[in-house]
Amino acid sequence: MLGLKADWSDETPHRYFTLEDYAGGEARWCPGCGDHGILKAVQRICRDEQIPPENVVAVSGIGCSSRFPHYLGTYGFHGLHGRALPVACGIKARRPDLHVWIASGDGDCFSIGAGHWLHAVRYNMDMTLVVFDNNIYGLTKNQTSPTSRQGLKTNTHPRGSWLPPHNPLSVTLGIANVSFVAQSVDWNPAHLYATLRAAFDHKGFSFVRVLQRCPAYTAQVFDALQRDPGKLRLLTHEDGIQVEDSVLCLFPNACRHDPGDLNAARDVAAIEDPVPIGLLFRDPDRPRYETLSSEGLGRSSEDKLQALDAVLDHFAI
Amino acid sequence: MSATATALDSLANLPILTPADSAAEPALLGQLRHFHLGDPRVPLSAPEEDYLPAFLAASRDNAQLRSDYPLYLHPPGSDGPLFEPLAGLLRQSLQALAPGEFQAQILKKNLPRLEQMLGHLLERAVTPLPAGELLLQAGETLQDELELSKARRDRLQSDLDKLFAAVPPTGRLLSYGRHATLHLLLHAIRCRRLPRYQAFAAEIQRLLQQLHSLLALERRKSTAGQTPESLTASLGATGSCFLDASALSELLGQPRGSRPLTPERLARIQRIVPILEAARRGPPRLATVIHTDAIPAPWLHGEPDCLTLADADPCGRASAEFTRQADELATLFRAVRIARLEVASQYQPEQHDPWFATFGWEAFTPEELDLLPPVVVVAFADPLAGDQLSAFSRLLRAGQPVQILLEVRPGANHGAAPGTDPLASYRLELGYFAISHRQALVQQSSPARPAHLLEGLLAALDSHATGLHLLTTGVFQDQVPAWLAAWSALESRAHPLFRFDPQAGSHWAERLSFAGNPQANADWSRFEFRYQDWQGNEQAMVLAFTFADFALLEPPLRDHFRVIPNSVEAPVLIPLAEYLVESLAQIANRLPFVWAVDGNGFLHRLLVSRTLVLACRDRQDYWRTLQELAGLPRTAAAVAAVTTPAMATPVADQQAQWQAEQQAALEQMRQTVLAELSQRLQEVLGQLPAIAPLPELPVAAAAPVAAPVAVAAVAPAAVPGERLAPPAAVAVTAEPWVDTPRCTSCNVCIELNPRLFVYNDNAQAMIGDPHAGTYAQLVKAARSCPARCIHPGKPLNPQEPDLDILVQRAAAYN
Repeated sequence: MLGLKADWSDETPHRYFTLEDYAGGEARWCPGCGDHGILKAVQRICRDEQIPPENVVAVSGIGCSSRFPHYLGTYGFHGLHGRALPVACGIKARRPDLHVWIASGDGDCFSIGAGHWLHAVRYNMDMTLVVFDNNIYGLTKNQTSPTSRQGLKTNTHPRGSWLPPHNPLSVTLGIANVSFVAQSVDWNPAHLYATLRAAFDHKGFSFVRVLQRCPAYTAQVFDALQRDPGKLRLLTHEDGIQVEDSVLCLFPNACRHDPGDLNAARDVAAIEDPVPIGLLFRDPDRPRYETLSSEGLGRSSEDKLQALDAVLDHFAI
Repeated sequence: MSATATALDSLANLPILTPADSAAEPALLGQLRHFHLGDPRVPLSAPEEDYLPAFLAASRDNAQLRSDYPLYLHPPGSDGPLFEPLAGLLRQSLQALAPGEFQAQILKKNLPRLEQMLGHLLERAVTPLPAGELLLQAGETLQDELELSKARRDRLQSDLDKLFAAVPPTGRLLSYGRHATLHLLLHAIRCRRLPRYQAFAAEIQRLLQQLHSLLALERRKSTAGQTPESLTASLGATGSCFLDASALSELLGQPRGSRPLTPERLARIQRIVPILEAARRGPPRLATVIHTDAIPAPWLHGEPDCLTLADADPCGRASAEFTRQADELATLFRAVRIARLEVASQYQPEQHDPWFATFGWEAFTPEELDLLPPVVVVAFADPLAGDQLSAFSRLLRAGQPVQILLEVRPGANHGAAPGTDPLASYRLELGYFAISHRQALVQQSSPARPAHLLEGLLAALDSHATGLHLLTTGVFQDQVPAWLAAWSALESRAHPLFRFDPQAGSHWAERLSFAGNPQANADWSRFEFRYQDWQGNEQAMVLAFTFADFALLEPPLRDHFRVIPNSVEAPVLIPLAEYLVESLAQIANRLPFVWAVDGNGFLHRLLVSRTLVLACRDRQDYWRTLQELAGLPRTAAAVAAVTTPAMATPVADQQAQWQAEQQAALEQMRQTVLAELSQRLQEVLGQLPAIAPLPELPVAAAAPVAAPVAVAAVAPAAVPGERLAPPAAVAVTAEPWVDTPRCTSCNVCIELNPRLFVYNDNAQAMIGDPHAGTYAQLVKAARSCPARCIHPGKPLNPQEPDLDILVQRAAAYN
């Protein structure tokens, strides 16, 4: 009789992952560094989503931030300077089932890796880029980075940075096929978590810039923002980053912004004081390149040979 | 199906009723009565073979009859219905192609002819034939017969080509025949199951690929896979130019955290791979058909995807065959399930080993059962109702998804002793018998109603229950087409349509479907019958199509009729349908008759024997039972009115009273519980001190240790665009505390004193043991905390040095 034998095979207690399951090596960032908070936020998202660690890949380039894959207990790829994005795109192209996090710094992403940044945004593959923006080259000890503020004294510009800083939000919002742009701060864990979670849930390339304190070199840069939250402008909207009222209270300066409006997002991004915090733009309907690049996955070797033969037949004389 | 027999319009073809010119002689009446009561020797003639029930008179001209056949079976994989009547399909396609009145006129006019030709082409076909070829052939024949001028011929050909192009040529045409049901079933299996087989094959392919990857990876981890030679082979000629295989081999030899599979796991994977490999070979089998040799179906042996077996005990064989095939597939499904678990790294030997040790078909999922080629029994009812009855019953109880196609004859009493009159005993209703097994899906249907039949077949296939399909295909004889005979059986309640689906609900009315029966609320279906009188005037009367009318089509039952001479008139003669509803007192001196038409088109009354009348009552009772079980409203009301007319109202009143009492009891209980709860609450509150307003504190507002979050939580919601009020200041408490949700997990405090500060499950700091550290450490941590979420409180140890300075420093963080 059907159903006579009860099926207990699926009663295997499903693996429940705790934060420890996503912990890799001991994080050797300086105590007080904002990177710790970003790492913990990503670990919390993985735990809350209960993603098996083997289904996560963290990719990075070079810099303090790029130690990230070492500290996340998942698959990881510590790449060359500025080359995190092409590696991540390659992974996503052939393994669209994996969740890809990319950790990059302001130097790694906006300077040497700028070319890849532009194209990765346009390719819009489903992954999350977190830029740890501390306005400085920290690993190499205090050199001016693309986002260093004008007048910031560094080892390369002892009399202060000459040029106005780069505006990564405006640049990203100007790239064709952009689909998710958000900004957060490392010192508000709740907002950071909600922002990264929204980025993770977004189907497409999520660009998140996190303003991150470097206790060694740029503590004073962000100190003003921390002391006076009015210098930050929280973007609120029912389609934006949803945080609890307790978090909203910490941002006395709030403004309503529709993340579906690209032009409005560009206007918001252009104003750097107060600093916009929250979701600037999101469009989940943009085409994603991995839908094309992952075609043919799962084919057997015979199928592939057959397909190759078919292609080569076009050139037969 | 709308088995419509279109009565002839022209008056000339209406049956003729000759007038009665005299009253019946008492002697004749005596003879009639004696025959009715059981004396077959009276000198009255039995109806000839060409006598037909009045309504079927029109069937003599087959051209006037329309059936759903041939059916067009849509090719598997196409959306929409599995089949549709070809006539309807052609008509619709033509209408869509040529909607205008003057478009494709020749073809529209000759469409019935084309259908007729297709019917002729299919006449001898025992299996469905490809539609494309037949349509072309019929088109050519039509052209030849019409002998049109070239221009018109070309026009017709062009219309024909367009019409045929609209019908997918890979579809097949099925004509009405003995095995129409089996063909429909095979077609349904093909359409329903093939996509599942394909999806399963794809899954096996995927699993194999993943298992092979696992094994390949394992090989590379082994020492054999890391030798310079094998690395050179992996790198290829080009790669070897750039990399030193020996150096690489040496490097790879050092363990780097990659763990090999356990020997048990490796052996398990190696065991299932060949099973999965073997499953990839060869096309899947569609069905296993088991029949007795009594059914001539040589075509079955030609079906490449069917396994055909002949056995004198088809039920027993079906059960054994199912078990055998299920055991075979259990091995494959076990391998697939293990592969899924292995690929996901979820196989746990202590959990899964015992489960797979006893894995059998009873544990299959519905999806797995769908992959089991259905076992189909094709049999006649007589042997199954006779000496094979116990095997038949066992199969119905086994709960195996076996489909039984059972050909029944509505005029026969299956299981009765051979050579006896089928009406001599109450009929064994095999459907009712099967329903008593409770868990089998039982349907009574006929290929003459293909839509009803297919619905039941699909329901049986999908429910995975044992399916019994009682079918009447009709007698293949000259007088009446078989489908019309089957149709008559349905009309006359000799073979009522029903479907009992045990999974359809918990009530009889939900489980028993009575859909499809003509005039299901009435005892007999009635229709208007037109005839002409001796003067040539058209007349009409309403006739009921009783079981006796159907019995006239059954040669063994003809002897239960005698022709009443038309010349006599006798008030004692009444139509059978009326006779059956009269009380016994009223019919004491009456004689029942039915109307029939002879081969020359003359209308006759046929006297019905008492035995046949009893058989009609028996069928009527069975019909009413089914009506009642199916929950037909009229029947329930009628039964209530007839059986307990005086009881109906009191029962209703009583029910209402019970409901009211129940409501009152519930309300009372609710009140009692509320009162009790209220009393308890008051008792609890009474023990608490009175709630007094909080005393004003020297610092701004009051907040306990755990309060900051709460305070923030009740803060008014942010109004977009407005400047928000800053969070309320918190009170200075003696205990140190951490505003944990704001902690950025930066490790500063933890590194300072990992006992004083600890991380919670979210890796955010909180106070562990406040006595485990100094006040100086607390103040230092507060000053270093980038999130400024550490509040040192007041010194717990008054003996600590430099407290004054520390308290001063701490003030900014409290």
